[in-house]
Amino acid sequence: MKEWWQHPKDMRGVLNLVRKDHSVEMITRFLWPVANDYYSKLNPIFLYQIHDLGLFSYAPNWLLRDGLVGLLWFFKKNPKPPPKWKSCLLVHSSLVRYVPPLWRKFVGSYRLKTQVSSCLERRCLLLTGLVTEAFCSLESLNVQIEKIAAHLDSAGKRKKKVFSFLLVKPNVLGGDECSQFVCEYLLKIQKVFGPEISPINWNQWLRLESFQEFDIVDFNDYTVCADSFLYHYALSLRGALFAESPRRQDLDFDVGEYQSLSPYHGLEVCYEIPKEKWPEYPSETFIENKKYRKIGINRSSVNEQRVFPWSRSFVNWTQTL
Amino acid sequence: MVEIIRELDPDIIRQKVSTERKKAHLTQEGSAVIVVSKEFSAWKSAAIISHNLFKAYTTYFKSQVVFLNEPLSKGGGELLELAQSIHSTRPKKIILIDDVLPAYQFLSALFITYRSEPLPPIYVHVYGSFTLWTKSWLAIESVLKKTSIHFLCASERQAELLGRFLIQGRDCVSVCPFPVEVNDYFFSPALRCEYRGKLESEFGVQTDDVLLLFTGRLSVQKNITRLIQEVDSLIKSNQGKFQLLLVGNFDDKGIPLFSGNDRKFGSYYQQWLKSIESLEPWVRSRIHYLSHQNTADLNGLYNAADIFVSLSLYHDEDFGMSPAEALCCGLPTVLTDWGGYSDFEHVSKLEGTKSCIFTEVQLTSEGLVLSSESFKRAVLTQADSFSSRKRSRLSQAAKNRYSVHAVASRIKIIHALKSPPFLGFSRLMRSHAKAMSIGIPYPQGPRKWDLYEKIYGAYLSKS
Repeated sequence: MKEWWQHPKDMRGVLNLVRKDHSVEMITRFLWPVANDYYSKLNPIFLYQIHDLGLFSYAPNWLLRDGLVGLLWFFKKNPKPPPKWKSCLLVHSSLVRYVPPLWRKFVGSYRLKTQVSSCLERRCLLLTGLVTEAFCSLESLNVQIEKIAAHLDSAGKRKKKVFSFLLVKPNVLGGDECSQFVCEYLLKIQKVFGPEISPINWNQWLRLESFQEFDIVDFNDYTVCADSFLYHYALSLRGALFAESPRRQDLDFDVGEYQSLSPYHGLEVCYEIPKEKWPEYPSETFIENKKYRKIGINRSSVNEQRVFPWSRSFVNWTQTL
Repeated sequence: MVEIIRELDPDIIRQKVSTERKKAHLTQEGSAVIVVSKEFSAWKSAAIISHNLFKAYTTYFKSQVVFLNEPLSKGGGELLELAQSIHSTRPKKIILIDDVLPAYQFLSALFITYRSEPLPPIYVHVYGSFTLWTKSWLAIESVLKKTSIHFLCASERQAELLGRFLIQGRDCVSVCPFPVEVNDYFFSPALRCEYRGKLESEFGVQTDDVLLLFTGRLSVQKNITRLIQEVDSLIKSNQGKFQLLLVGNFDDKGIPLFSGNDRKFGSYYQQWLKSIESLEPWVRSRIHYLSHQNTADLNGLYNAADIFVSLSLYHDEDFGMSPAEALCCGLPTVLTDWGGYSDFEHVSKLEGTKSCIFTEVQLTSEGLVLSSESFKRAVLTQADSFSSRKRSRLSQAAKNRYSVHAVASRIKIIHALKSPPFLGFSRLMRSHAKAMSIGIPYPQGPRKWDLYEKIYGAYLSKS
């Protein structure tokens, strides 16, 4: 019998096998804290952590936390599953259309599900995210905050007190100056939510015993991360998702299997997406697209600060999809 | 030692010190200085303890109080500036009361500041994590020997443990329980009625059900899955007379001495879920969960419950804020006979009944062994309902020992004692520090005949 203090075996699991080298460290540090690890039987990982496809054979299911760029990068490197592939890769419901047809047999989907609903009584709005273009572009931010503003107006919730946990990160994609981006980003937020935004720091975040009074907004365009740790943390302590529409079209799968991550939230998972539900893959256009061929994706065409293994032009291209 | 001292070298640090930092206002010379961080600990119970201890000190001491503005993780500059401010007031004694301030680092800063001048006596309130920082304490041993230092432990067994780490044994160790804010936690029949009603509508807790309550972090450290196991068996053997309510947030910290701290976020919840899902549905329906509650609701729940239960065997269990709060609400307890928990027997003695019953714990070659029989017996004994009168008496007895005023009186007595000069740390502490320096010191878990027993044998019952 196990002793009371021991980790159950399945908790240690195969995740200890993932890559932990310098480049992974760099990305993880850049994406901190949204990419922080959490435990689930679905083995949440980022594809940049995996060097060897053989690793996937250690578990039947793998939840891919990657955003669009990570997914496309992986499928470009691995256009078809290797022989004898069996595992199921779970892709965020807003990104499944980018899964190439050859992979679709082995891909399912997931979406966040909370048992707590956003309601008028919640007094606070908490804005979270990483202030950097790789995480949320200005265009995307515009779309998201306009939707939020419209919702706030329609529901008469303008009186909510607004808090922010927005971490400024370096511009790792090159291009515009970081400071200019940050100024524009913050001005946009201030324009909608006014000057009375109270920032909170990580220590204060960790000291919050409950997010019961908070509606949570994640300013994220799913470019590099589709599954934020901040959401999991806040929702597990009774935070609610702010009623927002995702940027990309979500896959409309019927109610899937519920995997609880806390008493208040979890993931809804669809392991096998019925054929008729798969959105059309825009692959024909992709493959013919000269830009796609020209930019290539290899480790030499790295971004300016060598954080991500893909190039700026590749990211630009994904933004047009 | 010198690693810490070097880190705090004034010339290096002076460059780092922020000019905007608010300076401590120290005007009155020659009084005691209490050092407390303005930013309280991330540990909820430690934050409450600091706050309450601070109140206890300011009840009787007309001390000057220094607040630190920043968490001290930022480096030595803050500490050195603080030490200089304190030095300039020539205090009679210096008192450290919270676990945010790393005492050994602060003391290093003081020694640098005082240079060859004699330091005033130093009083340090010790928390359960003391054993994790032995290496750091050893690093300042030689300078500690230049002064007198008095350690204040929250329980008798913690004092016993600390005594094993000191050459002079318990000569410079006193017991001072952590205070409870009794204006927040008190017995009230009306509240009991109100919250019992709420629990009936929310969870179906009936009037004649015996409601067991655990409050605190739901963590491997608190041995929650074992508690569920024991309550499962209790419910089955008593035709469902019992219900269990667990209140608190899930916490993924591991056990530093045995398995490290490397658990992933959400892993303990999954462990708990597995444990709950393995129960028969009718038993599962009698085990309930509520996340973190505010103080008023917590007080209501203590009042509504019939027995407080905890089977913690954690090596940081130097006191037990939750049981102390429960007792102040007149709630009888069933606890492990382990560490600081055993001190709650004082309340039983004060009150004259068996309001705190302990579950036997033994250290064997297989590990720490909890007696299921003893737990069952204890719960069945406590389940013979406590009348309102009895609960009121128990609440009063607990207040007499744990209220801010009661602790303030205790503090006054301790501070009247003369502290002998510090003689140094024992070989046992050096062995423990050496074991700690290799990572996980006891990967096999707690074992009899091991170094672990020499240290944590102090947490076991003598009998």
